[in-house]
Amino acid sequence: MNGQTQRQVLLLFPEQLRERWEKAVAAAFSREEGLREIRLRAERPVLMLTGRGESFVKRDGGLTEQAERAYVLTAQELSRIVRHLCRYSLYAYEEELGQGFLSVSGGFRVGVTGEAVLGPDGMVKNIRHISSLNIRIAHQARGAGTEVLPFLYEGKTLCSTLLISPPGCGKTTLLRDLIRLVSDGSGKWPGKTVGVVDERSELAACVQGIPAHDLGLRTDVLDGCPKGPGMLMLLRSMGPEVIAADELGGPGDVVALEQVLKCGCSVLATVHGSGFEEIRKKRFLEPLFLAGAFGRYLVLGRREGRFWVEQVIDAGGSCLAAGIPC
Amino acid sequence: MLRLAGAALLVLGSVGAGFCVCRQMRGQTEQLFLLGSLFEELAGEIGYSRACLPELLQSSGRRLLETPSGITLGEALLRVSGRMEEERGQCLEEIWEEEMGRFLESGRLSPEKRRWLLRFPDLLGYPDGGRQQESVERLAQRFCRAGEELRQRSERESRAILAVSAACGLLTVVLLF
Repeated sequence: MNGQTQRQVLLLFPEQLRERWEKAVAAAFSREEGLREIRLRAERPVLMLTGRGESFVKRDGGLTEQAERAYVLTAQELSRIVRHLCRYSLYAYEEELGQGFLSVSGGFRVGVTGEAVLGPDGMVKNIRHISSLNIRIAHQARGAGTEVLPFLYEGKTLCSTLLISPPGCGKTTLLRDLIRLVSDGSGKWPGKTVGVVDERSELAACVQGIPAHDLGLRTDVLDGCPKGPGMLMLLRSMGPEVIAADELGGPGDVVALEQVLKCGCSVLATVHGSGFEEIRKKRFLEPLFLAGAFGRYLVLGRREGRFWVEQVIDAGGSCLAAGIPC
Repeated sequence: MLRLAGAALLVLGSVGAGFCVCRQMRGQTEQLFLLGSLFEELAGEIGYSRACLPELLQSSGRRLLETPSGITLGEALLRVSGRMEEERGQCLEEIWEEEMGRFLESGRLSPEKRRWLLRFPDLLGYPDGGRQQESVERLAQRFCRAGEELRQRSERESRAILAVSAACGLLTVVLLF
């Protein structure tokens, strides 16, 4: 899997730059926990973020902790990389650029900054004169949800589950694997039809509509759609048994979720937070707590370089399990 | 008898040369219109579907293969699209110049029109779909306008060319015999 991801990372760069990048990428992947991000900034040193921390890329392609020895990416090289990433079709990424990212082949999501172009309504319409890229290396961690999955079922029924986690603790990775496991079914639990509203294209990492990550045999993905309308669209037309969405963020999401739950669908969702008690205080989630919408809460954390489900909590607030590795 | 045959061949040969010149002009006109319609189609697809360039070139290439006059161009577009999808990371400017260069060898365009075609990659790079569409449309219009001008010139001049070439043939016959 690492070899395949490594090759896909290398394909992000145009031919003339590959030789240098091949060494750097190989060096980053050989580190513990592999490569997580590549930071490219015009006229600045190139940075790679691995599980061990950040390193600069040297001129000869090796890695170093010293900025003075780092290779400085020119604006021209950055421009060449952008053109290559967009397959010489920057116009085709207009909507994504308006949201500040590009989804490129390999399932990678590339954050973009530059000069914002505003529309007449004052919203960001586009980005031009791109000056920085943040290439996020998505890893599909198959099996991340295997140990926690049994706790989400009561008999054959999947409980609606809310994953609670601070940033960078693997909630999207875990949600992705739970979707796959629920969709495929395993052992005593039959596969279910899952509808995914992938607003930020992070779960499925669709490229031209086709998911780059494996979300299971029975999963339908609505890519780039706001969660509220997306959930209702799936409900009306795709007959899902389970609906999944990443990062609930506002009252609109909650209203749609209430509709979904009324129709008998289970829900898999995530929310930012450091723990169960903190989430209970979030006002926009209050209607869901009052309605007893979620049967399970998974609190995620990170220690010793690994992601963990720190707690599995039921609807009554009781802890069913703790310390499950992902 | 032999003289008659020789005279007839001379006249036919010069009229044939005149026909060739006219055919070349018609061929150039056809090619200009073909390129104009190709870029018009690309501009339309950019505006409507916002599909990426490799897909657009592939679908246009396939469509051109179905027309006798478009086979060479269609093959060139499919090669460009194929090389872009190969993931070798070659830049489009290089691929386009190589493949369109091969297409132009079989063509009859003037150096100026060749430059228009070869500089197509320079027109890309607009993050705004509308602006990108306009940019490609302008190229399409240039080719179409050039095609129309050449067609009108060809209509005006072809009779004169045929007449002159027939006259040259007859004059040669008179002088020789």
